[in-house]
Amino acid sequence: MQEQWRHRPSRPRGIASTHPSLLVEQSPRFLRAVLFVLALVLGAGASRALAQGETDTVHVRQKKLTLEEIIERCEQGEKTKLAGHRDMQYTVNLRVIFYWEKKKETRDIVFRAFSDDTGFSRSVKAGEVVQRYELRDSVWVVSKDEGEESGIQVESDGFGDFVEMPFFLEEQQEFHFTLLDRTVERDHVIFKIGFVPKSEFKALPSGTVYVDTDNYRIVHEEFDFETNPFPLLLKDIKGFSRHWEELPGGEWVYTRILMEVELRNVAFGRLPRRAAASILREDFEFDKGYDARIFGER
Amino acid sequence: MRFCTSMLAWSAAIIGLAGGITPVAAQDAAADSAETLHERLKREGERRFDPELLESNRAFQDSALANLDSLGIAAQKKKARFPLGYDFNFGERLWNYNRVEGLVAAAGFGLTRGSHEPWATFQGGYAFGSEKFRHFETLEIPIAPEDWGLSVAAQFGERAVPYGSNRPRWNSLRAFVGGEDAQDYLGSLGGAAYLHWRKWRSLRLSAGYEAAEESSAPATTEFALLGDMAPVNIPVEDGTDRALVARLRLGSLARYMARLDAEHRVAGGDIGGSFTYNRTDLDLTLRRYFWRQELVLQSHYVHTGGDAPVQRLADVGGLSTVRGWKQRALVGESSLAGRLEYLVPYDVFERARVPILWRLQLQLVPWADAARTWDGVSDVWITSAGMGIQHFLGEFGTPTSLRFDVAFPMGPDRSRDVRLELHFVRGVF
Repeated sequence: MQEQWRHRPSRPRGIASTHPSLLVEQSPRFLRAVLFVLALVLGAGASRALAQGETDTVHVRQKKLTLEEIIERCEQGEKTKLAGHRDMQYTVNLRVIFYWEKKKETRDIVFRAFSDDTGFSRSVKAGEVVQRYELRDSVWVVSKDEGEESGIQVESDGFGDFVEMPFFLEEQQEFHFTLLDRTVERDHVIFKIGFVPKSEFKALPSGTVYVDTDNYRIVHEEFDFETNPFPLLLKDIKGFSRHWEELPGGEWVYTRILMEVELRNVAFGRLPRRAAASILREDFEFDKGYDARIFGER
Repeated sequence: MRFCTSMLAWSAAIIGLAGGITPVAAQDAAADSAETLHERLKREGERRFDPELLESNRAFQDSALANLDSLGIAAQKKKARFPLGYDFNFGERLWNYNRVEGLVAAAGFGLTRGSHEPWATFQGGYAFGSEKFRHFETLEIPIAPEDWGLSVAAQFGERAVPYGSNRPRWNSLRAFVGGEDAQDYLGSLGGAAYLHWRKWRSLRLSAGYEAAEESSAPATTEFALLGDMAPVNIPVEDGTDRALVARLRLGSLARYMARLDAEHRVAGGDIGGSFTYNRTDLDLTLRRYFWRQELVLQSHYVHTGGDAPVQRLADVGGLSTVRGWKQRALVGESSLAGRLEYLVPYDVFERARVPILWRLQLQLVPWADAARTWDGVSDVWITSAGMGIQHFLGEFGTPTSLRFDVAFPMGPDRSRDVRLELHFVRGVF
């Protein structure tokens, strides 16, 4: 069971909202004297009240929230994070870096993506650039610049922001949730919630989620995989995080996903040892409609 | 706020000088104290990863997006030298190892213009056991805007296909290594055309027409690495099967913890063909957690009417219905099979530190199976119970595990008292 405490500026009981000293400059002499006496009397009363053990903080007790209620509110918050909009367009910058023993490869791919409230989503690849590096004297040197590829554009599914919720909310029954911490941030509370798969054998991540109680938005997620989902290919999933941000219009969208995996040596060193990827989303635009010229026929 | 920040910085600097902290660190500390939790989470999240990941190639991004905005996707496509995209596949619909075809080695390719465009695949292979060329082709055409989820599909092929209720996961691997081919096969030459409707992940509906010449397939291959395969394949009734078929999938085991698969098939009559019958299949799977304890209940009901050929009759027995009993142990006009499994959520071997086993991530799965047929030769309940130990292998389309089952068949007609099975299982989540 949770309690929320809201701090208010301290004010001794019995004191007027405007301090008498502020009126002194504007008052005639006799009034000054009256007010001075009044201030002394009231001030003495307030001092007595404080001395008798009155606190300088007003505690406002709100309804206690259970963890289930917090998660339920998160669900509602997720459903309204893009409320009022019909569709959205944005740019996705995908960067993938593959690491071998003495070489690495960087791939930058740019997409323009669209999704709407029917669940439809599509992304179009705008271009890709590949650079290869070699390790010479402990310094990475460009060995081959494959240049930019801007040939045929590939269309594929995008991200269903309007209809999809984070997996741990979609499939709540798979996880055991724990309230780890509460932090007061300015005038609202941020909950830190942990979750782990109920079964030790499911290839599902465990993680930590930060929820802002201002509309119950998820602001940050960190995931860990206890059970490797692809044990024959992946040695380890080193990290996985997703960060959300509020746009100037009040919409909440995730703006970056970062992940890193360690690969098994299944092809005698030909496959990379490690791969890291980032997905950065930006240039969000809302309610512009579907542009078939950019995204192709629907 | 800035005043507070600078005050904190100076305070930290003064304290830091006394304690050996540099003014730079003090400034960092001041910056830390000024940032919100949201900003701190972002910064700490980034710190876990290679900074290179967050570098942006802004010039390239801008030029690529400007190119797309000015030309549009259609103009970009026209620039392509070949209007169709193509890819190669491994002939996954044909690759096989079984007692009627031996090894079927296959390869193929696909052609398409884009993600929501007609898509054709061609697969061909050679069956070393039956010494025949095998092929399988598909064509899928979207017929409405993508979000409607409507498409028509056609397929044609010549190959050996399994029949009956037994469909163990990766049966070919099991047959090749251990000689345990748990399916029966018939030769099929024909095709089908369907109208598909897919809405969300939890609703799929398709209706269509299937026509194929079906014939008995003799066993041609006995070889297996660790023991020969039985050189027998039960003959079927030869003839042409023409049928109208409707299929429905409702629900999902990940989100709704329940899934219903239904199929109804009407053959013969005005449609023509050698067989006149109808067959209904209903599959219901339920998954429930009781705190952390997970139970899975699967049931399969089949009803046939008319004069169904032997390959379309209902059957039970074998790995997919009642473990411990041989495949097609009972055959009748109707059947009902049920299975209950308890997936122990704890790594018992790890907690008990059992030597060797504690690092293998072995999951215990106690289970019980039961089934019966109606209007067959012997209409009795056959049951079995046992204990499985499984190891998760990975996500191969569906989660797949290697399972060792100790099965105790029950009932007076059982062929043996205990049966050991090593097989692959498909996870239901």
